[in-house]
Amino acid sequence: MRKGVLEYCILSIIAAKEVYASDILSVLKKAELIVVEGTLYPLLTRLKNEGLLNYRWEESKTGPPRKYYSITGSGQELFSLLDQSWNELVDSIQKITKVNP
Amino acid sequence: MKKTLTVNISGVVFHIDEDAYLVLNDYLNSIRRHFAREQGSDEIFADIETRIAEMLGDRIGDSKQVITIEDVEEVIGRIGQPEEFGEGFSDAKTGNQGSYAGQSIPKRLYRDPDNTVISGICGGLGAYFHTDPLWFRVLFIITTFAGFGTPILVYLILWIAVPVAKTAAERLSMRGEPVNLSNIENNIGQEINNLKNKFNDFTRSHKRNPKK
Repeated sequence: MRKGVLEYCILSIIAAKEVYASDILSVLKKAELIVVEGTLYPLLTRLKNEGLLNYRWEESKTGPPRKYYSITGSGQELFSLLDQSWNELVDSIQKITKVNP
Repeated sequence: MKKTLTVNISGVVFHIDEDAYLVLNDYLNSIRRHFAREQGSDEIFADIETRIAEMLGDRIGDSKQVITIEDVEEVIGRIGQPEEFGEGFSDAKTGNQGSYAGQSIPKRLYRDPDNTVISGICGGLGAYFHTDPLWFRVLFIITTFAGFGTPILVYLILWIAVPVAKTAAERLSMRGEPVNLSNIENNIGQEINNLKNKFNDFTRSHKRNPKK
């Protein structure tokens, strides 16, 4: 389950606005979702290869050029689906765990 | 005074201590190996390299011109070891990783039920010593015919005293292989194949000599 969840989070971050990989990492860290940075890059590449993300190169004065990620149409669609599934899941679980005998 | 190398990571030039260089080089190679089979591996590796260059660039300044081993260790800590990347790109089925419950059954002599002529003793000896059981059978037979009756006695004793390896864990320790989840899976797979073969042999021989 953890696997799909991370993709869901990444899509949600990128759907909000264009970001660098390091931005994604700070958001995750701030939200206390522990992930080693190395997990992110293969995921991003995979999402891009599946047509859910896009990127453009941004020159940087202090270093190598960086990828600036944005979400694609199909990425947006998948994100909405994941969002819906996640909310449904949370609802169901809450119904189950909040039942007082 | 330390020796310094000049390297370029993702097109950015760095001065790096020799010891730091060795550690970083090993690390980069291990990442490259980890993604070797992945589609887009070059791109993933390039992204990680770029990230490393970014992180190291942050640590360099006028007062600190050389990358030290502490810098490299911090970078490795943040990016993580390849095994920690998760996402199932590389199964940690590398033998001793993920051995459950840390059980270590030492290598023991068992009778091998999959390798029996009479009772699997030579099979078990073969597994224990990692040799072809044939040698033990030949040895037993020769010494018996050479006029020494004792091998038969020895054989009978072994037959009584040595237990047969029934469970997958016992089979593995019979060969001295580590008892962990992936090994047991393989073992059971082989078991099933053995049974299939035995069953096929049985039906085949039955067809040839149908009993009336």
